Amino acid sequence: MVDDEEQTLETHEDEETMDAEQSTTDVEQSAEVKQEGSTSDSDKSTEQEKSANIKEKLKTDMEQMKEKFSKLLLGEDMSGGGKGVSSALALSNAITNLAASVFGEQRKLEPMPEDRKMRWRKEVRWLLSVTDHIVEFVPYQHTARDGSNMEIMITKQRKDLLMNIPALRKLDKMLTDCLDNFKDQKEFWYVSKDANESEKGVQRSDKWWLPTVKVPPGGLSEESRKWMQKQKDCANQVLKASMAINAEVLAEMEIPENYIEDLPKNGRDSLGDTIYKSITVEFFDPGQFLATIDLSSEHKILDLKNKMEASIVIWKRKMHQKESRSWGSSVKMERRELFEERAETILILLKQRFPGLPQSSLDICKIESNKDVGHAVLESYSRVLESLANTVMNRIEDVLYADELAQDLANKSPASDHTPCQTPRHTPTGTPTSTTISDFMGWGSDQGDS
Amino acid sequence: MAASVSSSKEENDNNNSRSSSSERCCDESYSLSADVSESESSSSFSGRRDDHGAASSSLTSSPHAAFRTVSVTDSIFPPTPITFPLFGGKDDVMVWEKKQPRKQPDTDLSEIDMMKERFAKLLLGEDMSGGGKGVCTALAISNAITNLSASVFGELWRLEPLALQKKVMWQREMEWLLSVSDSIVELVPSIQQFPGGGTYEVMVPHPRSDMHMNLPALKKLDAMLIGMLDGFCDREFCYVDRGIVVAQGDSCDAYPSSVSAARPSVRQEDKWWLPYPKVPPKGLSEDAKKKLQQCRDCTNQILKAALAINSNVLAEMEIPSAYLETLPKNGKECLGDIIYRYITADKFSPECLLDCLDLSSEHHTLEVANRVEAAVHAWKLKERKKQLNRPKGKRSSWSAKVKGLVADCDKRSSLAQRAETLLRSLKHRFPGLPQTSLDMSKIQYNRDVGQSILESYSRVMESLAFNIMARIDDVIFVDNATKQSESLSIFNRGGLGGRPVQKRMSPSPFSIQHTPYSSPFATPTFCSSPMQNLCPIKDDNRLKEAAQSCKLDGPMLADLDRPWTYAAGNVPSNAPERH
Repeated sequence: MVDDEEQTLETHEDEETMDAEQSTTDVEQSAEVKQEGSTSDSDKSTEQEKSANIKEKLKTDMEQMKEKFSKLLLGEDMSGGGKGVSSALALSNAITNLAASVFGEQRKLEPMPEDRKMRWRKEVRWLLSVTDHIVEFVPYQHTARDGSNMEIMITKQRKDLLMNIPALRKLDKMLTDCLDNFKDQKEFWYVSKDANESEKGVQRSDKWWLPTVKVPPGGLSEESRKWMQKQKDCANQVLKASMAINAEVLAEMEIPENYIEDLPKNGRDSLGDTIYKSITVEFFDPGQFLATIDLSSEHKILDLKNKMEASIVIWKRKMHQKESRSWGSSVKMERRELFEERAETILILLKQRFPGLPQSSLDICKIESNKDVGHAVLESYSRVLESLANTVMNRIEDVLYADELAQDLANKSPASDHTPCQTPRHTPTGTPTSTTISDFMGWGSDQGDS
Repeated sequence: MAASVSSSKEENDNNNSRSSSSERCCDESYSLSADVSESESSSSFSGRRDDHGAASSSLTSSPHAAFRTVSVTDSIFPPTPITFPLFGGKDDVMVWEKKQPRKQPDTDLSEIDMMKERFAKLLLGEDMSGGGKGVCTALAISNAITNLSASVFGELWRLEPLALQKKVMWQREMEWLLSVSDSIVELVPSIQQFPGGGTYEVMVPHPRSDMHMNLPALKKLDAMLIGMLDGFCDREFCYVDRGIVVAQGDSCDAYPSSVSAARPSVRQEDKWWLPYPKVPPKGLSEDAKKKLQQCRDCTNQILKAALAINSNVLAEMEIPSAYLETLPKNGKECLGDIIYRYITADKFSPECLLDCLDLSSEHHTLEVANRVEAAVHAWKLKERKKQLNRPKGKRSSWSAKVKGLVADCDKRSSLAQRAETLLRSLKHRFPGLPQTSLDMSKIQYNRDVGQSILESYSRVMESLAFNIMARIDDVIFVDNATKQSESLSIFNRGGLGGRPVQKRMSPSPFSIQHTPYSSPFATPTFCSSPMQNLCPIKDDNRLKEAAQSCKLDGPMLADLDRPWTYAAGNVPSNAPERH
């Protein structure tokens, strides 16, 4: 009986995560139990213990699941008064919080501890299971027994979910596998940040809270340097893919009413005089425009992004209103259209140059007022994966940085000043391989279509 | 009958049953692995697949589900060529105990999946497009409980133990749905001791008081009702399908079509699909009858308790603004002329008014209740508005206007009070009245998850108790009728053309089954019916019961009057011709 459960779990997992290889403990456990059960009946007591354990585990799982779903249903309002958040936001928050508590501690390049990994898999599966029941009607050619064709409507998982959830699961798996790959590496190690100056490793400037990286004198071996690069490419692919999904979902979400209400009257108010002037000049060069603006801190970049987004919304709305009202002042219309295009170009440029930028206020507002459960799950799942991928990338960069320093030291090259100023985000490594991942996951073509 | 096999095995190695069961565990898991994923299926196991399918989806109905000894899990046991029923010799309790540990593994993954699905649907609020246009959690849970009870108890046609699958389904899914209530807490101050002495006050989460009080009570009522149904495993009466009854002709075709004209209320409609209870030719034994009566009394208590909880919760729910918006401008419009005139008269007696009203059918009664309730709230609303406006009025004019206003207000509040009394006595008179439109609107707009759980749970318990009681009344009725016809036949054999006397007894023997309140035995009027005259009631219990119900539902007289008139006036002469 117990073994049966485990068996189902295994198939279940297979279906759900499409894992080629099963590495979760419970499944391993189940394999063991099965083996024992089939080969010998001698060791009954341990087997019984095991089955009791598994039973117990399933039971606690059920209890945890109940509690989790209850809280979701109450929308985080534990008084039960129904003043909680919507299901969509509750799910989104749950995924965010789960990721924070599971990945928050990922400070080194090392496999995730087994218990945390299990927890992540289990709970994400619960939360994602909601999307299994989100369906739409699709026409379906039904062939009757006599050969006649009939079109009927059948329910099928909603298309965006059908496409993106498996993709995200794959990305999730790739990331955890990527971390698992660091299990056997021996060429770099971490030293506590509180260690003596002599033992202390290298650290890229601002991350004082992270342990420092140490590589052998003379740097990594050629082989492992290549291997590191490969891991980095992998993480980069995941990052790009999850970012793409996230952006797509956010773009699909409606602009909430309360965001529109809070908008300034016109584009000039929203942008401020200086920016407005430079965006409305006769000949506009986005590159030059960005060069004139202070983008020294994340805060400033985000501020610019917020302003651009706001004015795009304002202009679009005005164009729309005008269209429906009258045909007058078409000159004005054209000008708005032009400005709006320029602002969008700037947004794209910003995104290219600063891919890890936090959410803009429009994004936050969309997430908060979103009522669509499917969108909520997609958005939050892709967001947490994006952030985990980003973390992994950064940790790899740390090691590569330490490696470069060590190499420089070994070479005693005087030109050490222009070594590692390359920021991770500008590495072009991901681009050539990015097609592979799309092919791999089978949605590259769809992506192109949409 | 895999169950029988398992129990036989159990007996064989009684001394090391634990280890043997574990052995079976792995045996069977092995067989299941063949079934689920692996390719190592062996021919001896291949036949089990169907059984396993049936077991994992507890919904599939199984013909042997009626046996208490066959559990869902039991049927998964590996097949053995020999199948001989052994559970006949076993006592129920033992088998039940044995089943308990095996129920544990039943918390298997398919169950987890089912639970996931259930919760997912609740989260989506029944909007499967995921677009968030679904209902709020409170209503989703309320609907889920209602639907679950409908699918489990919807076919409560006989007094018999609930099929095990249904019972398991009910208990399991209710546990899931009620688990939401475990997370509903309120913060209460609590005095804590410092380890070194001294105290401090902290707020600790505590189950919400209404949930804390009512939920265990409802669970208890639930268990009692299920237990009572389980108690009907060895009963003296049995059920026959309608078709068979009619085909059997003379013996008991008490029930042909004749009766629809006399239906006293919508609920009492002739439910043709119900099987017909059949008692032994001499009626039930004294013991069985006593037991039945006890069950009826108990169910009645449960019904009252559930009703009380339900109406309390409904009363606590806020009146939705949507309801207030749809109210007519004034009380007169709500009530209609006649009631309005009565209610505004100098002297007002709710009972008198109710006697004058047409409360012949449930539909009418509900209509009246809705109108009166609407009037109460229309008046209250107006009063509240006036009170809000009064300061302004004061400032502008102190004069007679205000006086008029005050008088107006007084009048209105007294009218509202009268209407409230009227509503109260109406509800008292018809305790089984369906939900009024205000109640429905409250349920629909309620956002409080706790209240929605309590309301729906108590509502389904109420209806379950009601149905059980109706089924008991069916049996009691048929029993009485059988006894009477027997005694009658001694005096009147052949006197009425050999027709079974039952036929003439009442317009509809089954009309009573849906409302205990209007059971013919419960009303003195009916006691004086010709049939009762012909055959004096034998046991005291019945009389006591009649008297008791009378006290309870005395006012139903008015309701019963018409059918009774019909029965008294027409039946004795007409009935023979009708057939």
